[in-house]
Amino acid sequence: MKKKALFLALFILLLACTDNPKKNNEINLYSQRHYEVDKMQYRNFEELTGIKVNVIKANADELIERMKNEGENSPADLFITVDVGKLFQASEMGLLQKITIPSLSEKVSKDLMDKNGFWVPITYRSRIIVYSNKRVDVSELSTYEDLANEKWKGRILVRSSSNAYNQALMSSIVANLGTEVSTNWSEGIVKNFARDPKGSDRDQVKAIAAGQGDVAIVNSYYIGLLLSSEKEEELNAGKSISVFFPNQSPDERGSHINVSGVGLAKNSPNKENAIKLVNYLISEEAQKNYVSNSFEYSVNPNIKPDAIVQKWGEFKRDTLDLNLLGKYRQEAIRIFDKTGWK
Amino acid sequence: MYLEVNDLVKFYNKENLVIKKLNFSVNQGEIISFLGESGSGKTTFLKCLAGLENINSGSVKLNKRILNDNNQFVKPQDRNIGFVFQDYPLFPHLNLKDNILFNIDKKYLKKFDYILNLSGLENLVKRFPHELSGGEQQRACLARALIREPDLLLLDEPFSNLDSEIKSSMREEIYRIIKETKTTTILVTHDVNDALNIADRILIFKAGILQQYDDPVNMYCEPVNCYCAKILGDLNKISTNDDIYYLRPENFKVVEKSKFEVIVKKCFFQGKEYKIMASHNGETCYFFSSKPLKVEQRVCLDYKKEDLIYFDSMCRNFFE
Amino acid sequence: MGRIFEFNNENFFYLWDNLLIDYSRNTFHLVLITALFSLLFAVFPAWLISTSSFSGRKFYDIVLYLPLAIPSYIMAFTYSDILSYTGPMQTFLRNNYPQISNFFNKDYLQIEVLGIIMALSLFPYIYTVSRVSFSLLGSNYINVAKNLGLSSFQTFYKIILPLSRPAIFSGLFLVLMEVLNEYGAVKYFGVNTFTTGIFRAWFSMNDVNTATQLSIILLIVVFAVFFIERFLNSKYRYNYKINNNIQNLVESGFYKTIISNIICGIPFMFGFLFPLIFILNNAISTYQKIDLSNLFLLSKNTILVALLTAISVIIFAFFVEFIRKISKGKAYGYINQLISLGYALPGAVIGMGLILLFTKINSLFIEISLIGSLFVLIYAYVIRFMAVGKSPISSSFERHPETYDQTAKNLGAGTFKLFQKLHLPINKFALMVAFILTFIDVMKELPITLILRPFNFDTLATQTYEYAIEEMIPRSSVYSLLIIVIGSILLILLKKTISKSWPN
Repeated sequence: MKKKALFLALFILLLACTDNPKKNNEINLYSQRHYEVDKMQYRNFEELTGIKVNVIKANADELIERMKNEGENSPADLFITVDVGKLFQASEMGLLQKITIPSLSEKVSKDLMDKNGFWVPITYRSRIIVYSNKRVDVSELSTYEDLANEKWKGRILVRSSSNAYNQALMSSIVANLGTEVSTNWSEGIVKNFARDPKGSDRDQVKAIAAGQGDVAIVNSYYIGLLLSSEKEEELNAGKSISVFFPNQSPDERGSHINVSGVGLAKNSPNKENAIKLVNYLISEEAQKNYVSNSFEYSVNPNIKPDAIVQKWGEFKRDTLDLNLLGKYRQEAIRIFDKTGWK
Repeated sequence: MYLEVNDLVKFYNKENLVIKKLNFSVNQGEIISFLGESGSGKTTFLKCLAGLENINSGSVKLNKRILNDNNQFVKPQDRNIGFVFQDYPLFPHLNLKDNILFNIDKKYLKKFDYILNLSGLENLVKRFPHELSGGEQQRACLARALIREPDLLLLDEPFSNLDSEIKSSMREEIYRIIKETKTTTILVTHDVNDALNIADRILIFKAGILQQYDDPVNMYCEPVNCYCAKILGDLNKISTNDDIYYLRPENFKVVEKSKFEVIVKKCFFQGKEYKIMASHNGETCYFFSSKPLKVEQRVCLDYKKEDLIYFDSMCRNFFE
Repeated sequence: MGRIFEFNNENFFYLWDNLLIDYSRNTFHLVLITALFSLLFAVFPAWLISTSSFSGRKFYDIVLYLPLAIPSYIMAFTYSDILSYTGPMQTFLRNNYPQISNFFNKDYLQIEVLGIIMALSLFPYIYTVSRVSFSLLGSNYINVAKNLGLSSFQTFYKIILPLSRPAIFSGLFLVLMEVLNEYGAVKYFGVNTFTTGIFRAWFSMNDVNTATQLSIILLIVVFAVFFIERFLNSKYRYNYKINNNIQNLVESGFYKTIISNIICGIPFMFGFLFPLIFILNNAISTYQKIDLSNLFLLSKNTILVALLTAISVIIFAFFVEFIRKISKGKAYGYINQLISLGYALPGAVIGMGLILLFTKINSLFIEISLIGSLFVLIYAYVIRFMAVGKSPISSSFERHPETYDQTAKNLGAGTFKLFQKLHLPINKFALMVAFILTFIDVMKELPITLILRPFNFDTLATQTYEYAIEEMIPRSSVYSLLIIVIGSILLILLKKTISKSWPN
């Protein structure tokens, strides 16, 4: 009896070895996105085209490492991230090939596109400031740079520097203002910390509600999530804060944004199918799907975001070349380390 | 000869031989007691016979079949030698019946009831080892070995873990079982009484060397050296003018008058008679008396010349 | 392998100068707190349950294993939610006792809190071994000690602890390695440990070489600790006689019953009951949103990989031990130690290492890509959890005297029969224990699964994680609940198994 079970197990193991994706009517995604809405998009695409969508979800860095090591044998067709820096890194490492989508500029705002043509944006989010309704007057707020001002001493909350969104924010400041200014800015922010960086973006909001700090730098997407929470207490916490888009005055560059995008893998075995899927993801139908099921902004200027997000009003984006967010990432990390932003 | 051991040498490292050239043989049906101190290599010797250890040189022959020599090594599972270990290793996951029938050839199955009856375990077949007493475990190990009709039975200190009360009855019982099955047996022990009681012949083993191999009576009365003499019982040292002799305590007789006068130091009551510890010219000696003697009393002893045992001077050092 | 020695000075020294001292100090601090509290949560309850009888004893005897079913990252996320400003504790205080609520309005994301939380989820590693060790010691030594005039506490301190020290250390060592491996929870709490440094080098600086070097340093440290422990404890490795007599439990009076209940109750309540209630509550509030067929699929996947891994581990561990037993070779001992090394490596490092290895194999030998197959995933699990499965099997093998083998051989059993008729049945319970422990660990495993899983392959753990990092903890609760339930059932089974093999 026991022996039979063992043989059976070994047999299954052997079978498992041959369980490889075949090269037929399908498409393989290496994706950092793992939201409900993504599942829905892929299902719709499958119904529409009959092309099977296979997904591996992991951290972007791990996926890059995996693609790099797999080399020519990589089954990956598309690489999807929630941070444009990782797309840039992948293209720099030669893991992506140029992707041409006909009439792309009709569907996507020009400033969100890759100047080099390696990736296509599918949504974007902004890194914004939230503040306590009780303890902060909106007139006190102006720019990211202003948060280094002494008046914010002991009042700023932000998560750790290992977070990719923070790294992208710092990269944007390096790209816009240079290393020296950025280092000074980082030093100022660190001096103003209400506590050591930790927790999630949502925790920063809770900390404001708890009175541990007054302003926080967070991702717009998570604020949307918090404000739609099932928990009454979290909603209350959400009500005690307001959203502020920094750097909006006419002579300023606009609020920092980061793009979730998709790149075509260098050795994509199902290239045609892959392009079909990218086309679908930026179609009006799919874009509407994104905004109504998550709190991201559509890359199509004509599609309005979710009602909760709309309430915060429109804002001016920083139109920096997004590839620079990847290019200055190393620089940004060194500034974090040097200035003690944990 | 049934079992022949020729020039057997065994060591774990070359500087320290456990067995140095052992030669001896056993007749079919005999019970041999292999007597030696703890740690003298007795168990190693049994393992060499059973094939659990390979020998370094020499040969072991059983019933004209070479079991082990320089060219040949019969695996332990193919030797048909029964081995009862010192710590009664019954497999804890099997009950008594399954332990006895462990890996058994079908042809022996019919003997199960006979063996069970012989070893008095009839009512315990369903019990697990931890539910058996020490004596029962031991008999079970013996039954397990005997049911296979071994060509040779090896018993490693079978009584050392038993208390003295059941020890003697176990000894008799095992003697009965072995004799009834006519099994050639080697019994390893460090206890002289075991050896004297059960064995047809005794082999005394010391420092890797066979000291004496003889029947119990000869061994007791005519030990070849003082080690063998000492191991089988107390000895008194008797210095005459020219040399030193030795005498067993029971060969002393209390007499009215003699040259050999001793002072009583202690008197042990032993049921039938008294064992007396006394001193003679500063040397301690022992003898037996039918009546109690008072401490510090002077007593005269006598002995027969032919009872004296003589060893050469080199051997004497064993006593000092 | 050559790449280890391509020393990238710049990055290495950059990390060293800026961060590693700090990271190492944090690691040390965290390990210390976790070790201290897990000893506290484990040793005293184990002692009470092994030696005294009090009402509630039987209950605690079963449930104190259960915290092992909760992955430490889920424990950390759950507690940060429970303790947060919007969590149940502070909300309750604000609504009912506003005057003292301010006192509890604190930042709980602290290294000390993390240490205690980790201790709560890891203490069963120590509890299990202490419990068995205390039971095996039996009452003889205790009776002798009492006869010599020692009080209960003195007996514990002077006799029982020294005798059980090797066992307790072996449990502590597992706890230590788990702490070193932990990534999710420490990141969330903003505590940068040495493992954070490895990932920092690897991901943020794209420097695999430096990451590898750091992993090796970590390994060397773990090795050093292991051997220092061996060395320091070698004189404590007494060969005491195992007591088979049923140990008489000391009856407890009223006060002692209360104290015992508190000592055993704290680790149970904080390590299992409160998180479970919280997760259960979340699960009830979100269950309408759950896709049942998906839930079923995830459970199926989870059970499949856990089953395959656990079977592979016990087969492999068993053969290794069996061969060691019949061959008695010395060199084998070192290989044996090496096999267990995987436990000291962070899962992600093993994952990436295997991708490198199999890429090489693919380019050299075979056409089809093994990476992304279930085979490689299970292979990685086996490397990672070999130590978990091997230790109960090893100790079971060590407990059985050499004479069993010799007797069996003497009774005519060849190598195969020895295996089939003796070692397989005799180590049955140990195999079950190994199976269950490995199964639970695979079920909780995260980083390896994320990196190496095949396409479209999700497990309960990955789904939990995906919701958790998107800050949707309530949505993750059904999946984590399922992990906990399956784990708990298996642990109760484990307890039954242990009771069978060691009565009392």
